[in-house]
Amino acid sequence: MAKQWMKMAALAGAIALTQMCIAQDVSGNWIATVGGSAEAEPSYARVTLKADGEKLSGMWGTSKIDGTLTGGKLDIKLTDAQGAASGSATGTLAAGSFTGTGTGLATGGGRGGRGGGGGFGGGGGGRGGRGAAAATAAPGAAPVLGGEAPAAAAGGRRGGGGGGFGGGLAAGPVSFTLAHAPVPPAKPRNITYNPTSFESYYSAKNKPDLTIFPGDIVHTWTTDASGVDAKGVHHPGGDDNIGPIYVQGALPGDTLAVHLLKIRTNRSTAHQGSHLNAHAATEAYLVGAQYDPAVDGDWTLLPDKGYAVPTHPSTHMKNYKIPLTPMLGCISVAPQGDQQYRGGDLGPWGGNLDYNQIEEGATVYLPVFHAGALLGMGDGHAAMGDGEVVGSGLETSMDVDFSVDVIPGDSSGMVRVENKDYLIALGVSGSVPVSIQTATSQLATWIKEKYKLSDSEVAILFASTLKYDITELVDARYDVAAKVPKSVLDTMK
Amino acid sequence: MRSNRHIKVLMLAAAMAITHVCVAAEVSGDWVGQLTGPFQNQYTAQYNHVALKAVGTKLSGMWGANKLVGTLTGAKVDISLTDASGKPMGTLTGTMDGDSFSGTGSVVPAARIGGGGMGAAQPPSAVTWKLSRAVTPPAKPKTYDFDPPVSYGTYSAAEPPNLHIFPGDTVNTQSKAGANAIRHGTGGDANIGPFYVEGALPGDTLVVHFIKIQTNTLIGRQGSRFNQYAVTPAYNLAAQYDANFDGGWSQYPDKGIATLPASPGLPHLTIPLKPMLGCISVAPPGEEQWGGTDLGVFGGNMDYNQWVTGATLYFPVFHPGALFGFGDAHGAMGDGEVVGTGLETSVDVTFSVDVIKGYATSQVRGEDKDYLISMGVSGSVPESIQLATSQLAEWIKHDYHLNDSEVALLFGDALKYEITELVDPHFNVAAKIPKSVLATLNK
Repeated sequence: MAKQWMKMAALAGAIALTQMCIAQDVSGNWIATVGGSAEAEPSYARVTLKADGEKLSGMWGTSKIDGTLTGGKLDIKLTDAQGAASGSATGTLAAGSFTGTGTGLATGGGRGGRGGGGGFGGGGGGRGGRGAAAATAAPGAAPVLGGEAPAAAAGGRRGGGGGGFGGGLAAGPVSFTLAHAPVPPAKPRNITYNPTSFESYYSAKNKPDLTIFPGDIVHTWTTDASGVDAKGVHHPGGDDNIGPIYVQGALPGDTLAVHLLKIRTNRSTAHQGSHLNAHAATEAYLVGAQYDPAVDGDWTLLPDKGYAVPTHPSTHMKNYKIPLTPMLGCISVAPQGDQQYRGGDLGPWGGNLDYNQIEEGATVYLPVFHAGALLGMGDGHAAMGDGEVVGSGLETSMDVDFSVDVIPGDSSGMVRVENKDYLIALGVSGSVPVSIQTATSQLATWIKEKYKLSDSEVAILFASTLKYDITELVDARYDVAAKVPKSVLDTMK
Repeated sequence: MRSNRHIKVLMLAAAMAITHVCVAAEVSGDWVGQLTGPFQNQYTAQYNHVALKAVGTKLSGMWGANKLVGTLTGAKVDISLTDASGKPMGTLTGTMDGDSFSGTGSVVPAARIGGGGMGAAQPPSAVTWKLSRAVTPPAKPKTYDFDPPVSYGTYSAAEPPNLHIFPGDTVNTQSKAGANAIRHGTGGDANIGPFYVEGALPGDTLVVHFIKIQTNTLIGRQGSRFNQYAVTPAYNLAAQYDANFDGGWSQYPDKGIATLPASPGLPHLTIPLKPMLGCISVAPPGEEQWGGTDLGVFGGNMDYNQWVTGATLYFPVFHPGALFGFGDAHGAMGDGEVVGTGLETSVDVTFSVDVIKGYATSQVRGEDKDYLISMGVSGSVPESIQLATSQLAEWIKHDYHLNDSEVALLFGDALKYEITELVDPHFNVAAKIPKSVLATLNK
């Protein structure tokens, strides 16, 4: 209410004095888009401006602004936290946005900036033994943008992470635009979202199907991995993801927190494989296995009773039932740059993580690689054991409620999860040994930062309390979760 | 009871009357068969539980899994063996000498547990053989208070047993030999024992019930640097470990917690105690000898944080008596032993043993109140995952009569993995399945 009054006052002022009006409008939150070309994506910075007459002050990322705005002409100098000159810019104001050129403008995206990237710890063919595991991940590069080396190193490199451009400082002048930051609605909204696009690739090229603000509560549904919804309608794709959903205010280098408020099965059928995958059992076992075609993997879901039963049970499974523990196999943001992955794949952007703890009540933290994050989800499983050893869970469709938050400038480089009992880091790579290393390192970096621990302290903490989950053995990449109980973390406060 | 005694008295009377009948009657019963050959295998002797029934001069019974028929004429014995399908498995001839038999023959050697090896069935092998009376357990199980006089830094069948016990017996002891005890072998992870379990033969499963594993000291010590298999090379390169960091824990067994008083940065950190045994073993196969830190199909330094009070372990038996031992107590340990140690301490242990005759799986397995659990020990985590899953599947298929599709479906829904050991000479992964789900199966 008070804000509206201020806006009306501002409007009144604008009618009276044009010059004054510009100054008033300029004060506030902006988002700078810096550079960008056919070869390179733009960088982003959060900018706050404060106009006092012709004088401009404020912050450009982590740099201090000192300059003037005269008749729509912007002229500013940037100084870093140590007081050293870090850049400058000139530009013009037209139609509510600035455009211009400058130097040192990409510095302030946030701690770590895009540096978090990385992730695919190069595990490649590391299915062998320890030799392969140790040899693969690239040593971490020097700290990036003042961030912590371990964050950058969370798993070797692919894209911006460890090596590459180092500080990400552009050498010459680059173009920029400066636009008003989107203003969230006064009160978070309840949004009923009936998906109209079902993506079977992870890509920043996918057009947003919905735009939301942090805090909005979205009520939606997902199809099963074959694209079939609750009513039996088939939507195209494999490991279908609804969305993408554009999150206002999410910038590369941020973390998108997705709160999974509800995940419930919404039909009575599910299907599951019944042959063990090659990564789950020995060759001798699989060669000797005599699979029974009568075991068809059809399930009947009984959500009222909280369990599932085989639809056509074999003799030994006449009374067999398993508890329903609905989860989302896929949850993602758009992968970095022009990368494009199939629905069954997984990586630092999430994707087909197939982690059976991504269930109702969990919060999933995804590193943001593109403006708006471009959130997607799908591939519901009514239940799934560790490792998805038969190549599928109890595949079915889901009703999902969720909300999101944006944590500015805090990118961890890979997916993290939190539930009521644990803080959890995922490690996705080409081998289980590297996934273990990546998950542990990422969790250690997170806990060190959050609880201000030294390397020795986090090591002894993990020594007694760390737990691993082997989440995914059968997809295009492997996934291991490292987790530490909140009950122990709470004792350190 | 009473009728048995009557029969025995009658038999005794008969024996006095007719010596020949007497011998035949005494032959009936349980024996231990030993076949010694130049087998093309890692073992030189094959042991089996043998049951004999003598009627007149006719002998019948079982020699391991093979059916036995034969004759006993005077002291001269002739035996032929056939498998379940009636296929000939060998012949033995020999003589009876007091309370044992011995002789020579030709026998198809048994496949080793865990399959593999030579693949196809082996040819008959020339053997010498022996039958000795199976030991008779005491009428009532015994309880022993055992103060370990020695500890061993290696796993080997060459270590002489320090206590003989019977299935059903209970032992109260501790994980560490006393200050004055003799220690054989250097290196870490010394084990007490070995305990010779009467009646346990190669091919059997040794069952160990851990009735109590309880911290018996107020201190514990732990490493504070990540092992290379737990974190990325980049992480450890950047890590700045404090050379003076003191990993000394204070344990409060009454409260079930531990704290780190010597670490000023973590004044309030409190972790729950969950005392476990890092090393639990039987003697490894054949003449194998492994360092105390190692682990394998015989168990050893498995470092599994669920081997706590209430756990039951199942070991494949490789030598007569199993030669069971343990050590390396941890007051608590996270998965993977990521700093190279648990919260190293000592514990009081109470355990009892049983033997499952004639059935064994390839590695160690066990159960607690909630899960059936299979270990997978190998040279890589991926292989350990496969081994753990496969052994668990074989076990559940065997006990619950499931086919391959049924067990796959079960695992697809309800399997759990734990990465138990990342930092020892071999890796260890646990695969487990909840008993609550197994309870819904029709055997």
